[in-house]
Amino acid sequence: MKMFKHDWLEGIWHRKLYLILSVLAAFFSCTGIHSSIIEHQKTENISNGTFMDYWIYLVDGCQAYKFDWYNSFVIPIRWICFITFLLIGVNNYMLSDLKGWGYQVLVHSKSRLNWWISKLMWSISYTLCYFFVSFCTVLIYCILRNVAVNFKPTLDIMKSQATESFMKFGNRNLYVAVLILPLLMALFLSIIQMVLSLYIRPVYVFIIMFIWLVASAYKKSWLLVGNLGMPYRMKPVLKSGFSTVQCFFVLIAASLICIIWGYLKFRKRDIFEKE
Amino acid sequence: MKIEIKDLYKEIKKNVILDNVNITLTGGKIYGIQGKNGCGKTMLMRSIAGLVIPTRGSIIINGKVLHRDISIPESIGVLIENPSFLPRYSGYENLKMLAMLDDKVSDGEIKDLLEKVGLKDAADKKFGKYSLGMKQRLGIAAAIMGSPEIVLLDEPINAIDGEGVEQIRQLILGLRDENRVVLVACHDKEEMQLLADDIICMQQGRIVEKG
Repeated sequence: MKMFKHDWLEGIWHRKLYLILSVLAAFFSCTGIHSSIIEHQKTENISNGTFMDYWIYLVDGCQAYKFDWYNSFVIPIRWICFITFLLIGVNNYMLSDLKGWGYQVLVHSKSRLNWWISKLMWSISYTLCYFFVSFCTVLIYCILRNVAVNFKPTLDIMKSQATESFMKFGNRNLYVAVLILPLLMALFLSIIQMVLSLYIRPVYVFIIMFIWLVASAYKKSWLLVGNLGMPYRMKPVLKSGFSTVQCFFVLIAASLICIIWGYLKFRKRDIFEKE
Repeated sequence: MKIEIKDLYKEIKKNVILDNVNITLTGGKIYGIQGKNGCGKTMLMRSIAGLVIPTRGSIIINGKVLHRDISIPESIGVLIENPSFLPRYSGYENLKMLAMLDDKVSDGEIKDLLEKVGLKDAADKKFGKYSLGMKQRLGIAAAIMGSPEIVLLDEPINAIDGEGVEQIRQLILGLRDENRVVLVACHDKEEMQLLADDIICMQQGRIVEKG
């Protein structure tokens, strides 16, 4: 807990500017769907939508791409930015905390395991903060735009965004698909980014993560982890999609494996004041 | 307090940094390590502190094998190379944050410590504005904070002015305690004669002389 207090202060509070990226991602997403709704309202009789419509627009990802000479793959910028901005925030803190005075913190922590656990708690907390800030941004936007604040998507809005298939989700499945799984996927990516930073420079790790996300948007596959947090890739939205329950457990298991893998690597790592 | 180093060997990218180092350090003495740049002094200190994993060999601290029973020595203070702290905080705040991790050091003790190292007037000054000598003094304060059983000081009088050297020397001599091992690395042979009870000479990663 004492180490976590240090990590909270140095890794989150003094880096709170990075959380502005979360606000930006959420805000521009909200303006996107809002503009689209306004356009549709000129010719159709549709409502202003609900908070859930706006949230789904932020995290939905994109439909699975089928190669076609006449329809090229379009990168889902909104979704990519939302996740990438999180990865920017968590990218370099762990290693930078080891440099310079960081070795003092490690020595005073008395244990490499304590240090590793503290960094994990930081990573999880940062990701939760990031999502919370996004959530609040969407919420505030909805309040200011007189959008109903409830967790029910509206059919006419879903139709206007060509996402009416999301209405096939039951309530529980919907919440898992659009709230829990994106968060778990983001947590997994934060943790694996930390682990890979123990092997190669954080900037290269970030590039790998980015490519992994784009590949996830392009192709449906269990190995492309972005799929597991993308509502568009879930049953029943996609007939051949992933089960939300399976994704939930796979992400939890993958995160635990990364946590153990990371500790085993860190246990044997030489710490130098300058990397 | 007893530190046993057995057949310690460290290689990094095919460069031998420590080559079969064997030595026992017991409490109540100040050990000095001497040697040219690159002889392995700092790497030996890093190894004892648990910051570096030996390629072969073992370090046993009070019967506990480092990297098997413990990953970091349970009671240790370290000053290795240039001391680095958080520039946006004062010297006092930096020590307080480290003390928070240990929970053994009170605010009053931190202030006394800053006075002992000659930083009483600069306690509230941001670390980013410290001179090299002041940074070094703060590094020493961090290393001896909480009265650790192992104290590793790498070039402690680096960048310290004439008067300050005597102050730091007396501080280090005052650390001599039967329950404490103090290891000091220093280029200055005369200073080493004044400080150390035993001098260890290193060359190319090996101990060439002890006593």
